[in-house]
Amino acid sequence: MKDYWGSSQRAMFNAGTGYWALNLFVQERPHESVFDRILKLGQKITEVAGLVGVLGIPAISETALHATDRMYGILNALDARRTHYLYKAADTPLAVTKDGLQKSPGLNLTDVQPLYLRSGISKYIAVPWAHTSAFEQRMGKLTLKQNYLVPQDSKDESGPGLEAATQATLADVTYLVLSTATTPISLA
Amino acid sequence: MNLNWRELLLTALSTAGLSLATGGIEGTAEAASTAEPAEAAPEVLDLHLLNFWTGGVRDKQRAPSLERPTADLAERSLMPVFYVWTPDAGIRKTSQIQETELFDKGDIAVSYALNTFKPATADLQRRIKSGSLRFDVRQATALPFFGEPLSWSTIAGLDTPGNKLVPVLRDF
Repeated sequence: MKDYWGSSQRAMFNAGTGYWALNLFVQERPHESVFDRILKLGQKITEVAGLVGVLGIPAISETALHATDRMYGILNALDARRTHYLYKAADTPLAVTKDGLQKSPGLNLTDVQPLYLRSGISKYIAVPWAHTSAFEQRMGKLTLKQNYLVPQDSKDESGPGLEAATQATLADVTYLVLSTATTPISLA
Repeated sequence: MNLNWRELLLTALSTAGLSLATGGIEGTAEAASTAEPAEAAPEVLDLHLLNFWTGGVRDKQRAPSLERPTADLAERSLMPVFYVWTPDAGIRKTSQIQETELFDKGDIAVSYALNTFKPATADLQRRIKSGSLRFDVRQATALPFFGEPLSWSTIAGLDTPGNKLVPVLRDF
């Protein structure tokens, strides 16, 4: 068992606000998509082992982002017979500082509570809304070990024991664990 | 849909300079020119997915909200709800994070890493060919010395084994 996303990326939030959007979908299609081929090619070039290729696009402009969105949409929509989303969300406003929360520069907070990003190191768990009821019933008795949710009384810190515990815990809940670390900087 | 989307796509890709991906793209073009007889099945395009990525994902009016009434319950059920875990307080809703836990003010660098994805049993049963996870982070206001807010994205593909099921946990 291992963390397969691994490497961290760094973003800079001026004035203590920002957005994030988490989307995950799986597709039924008659053949491998062009997007899959591009990812696999990237995987070969970078010699990244494992099942999952990761493509990081650091710091592109808003205009370039829209072009990337369009390209990404076309590549994934082409010949997709069915698309099942596991997570689907538009940009979610974030507040990283008290000042940013109060002034909310650049955020449209009508009917929306921004998500707070704590100072220092934190672990966030994303659960699809449809699974939150099942998750909240049990979350008081769970903890994170090796980035997997296991019962608090689970004694194994690693190995087959921990893997068995992760398999047996929350089998009816989809979740994703995201680590964040926030540090003050000066962009002025 | 009878539009030749593959031609359109190849044109767009070459225009965008993505022909660097020679193995994948040229292989596709070659296959399209040699292996597609006149009776080839018309190509389809998932317009819902395309519309989402060409507008919906950046629509501030569609930001996830548990408070806002929405007619689309199916879409609401897919909305990610975030919880936070800390060693001292355990798991709690992000709405329970206190303002005292935030920095006071200023510019902040956020390092982030996607650590774990564990699908529910029902999601593992889906017979699929591929999948994609995308995590976007972007600024809300422009930096004074950059023309526009910058954006960061992490995109990953889920490659399925021979039985076309989502990989089991131990294979990750």
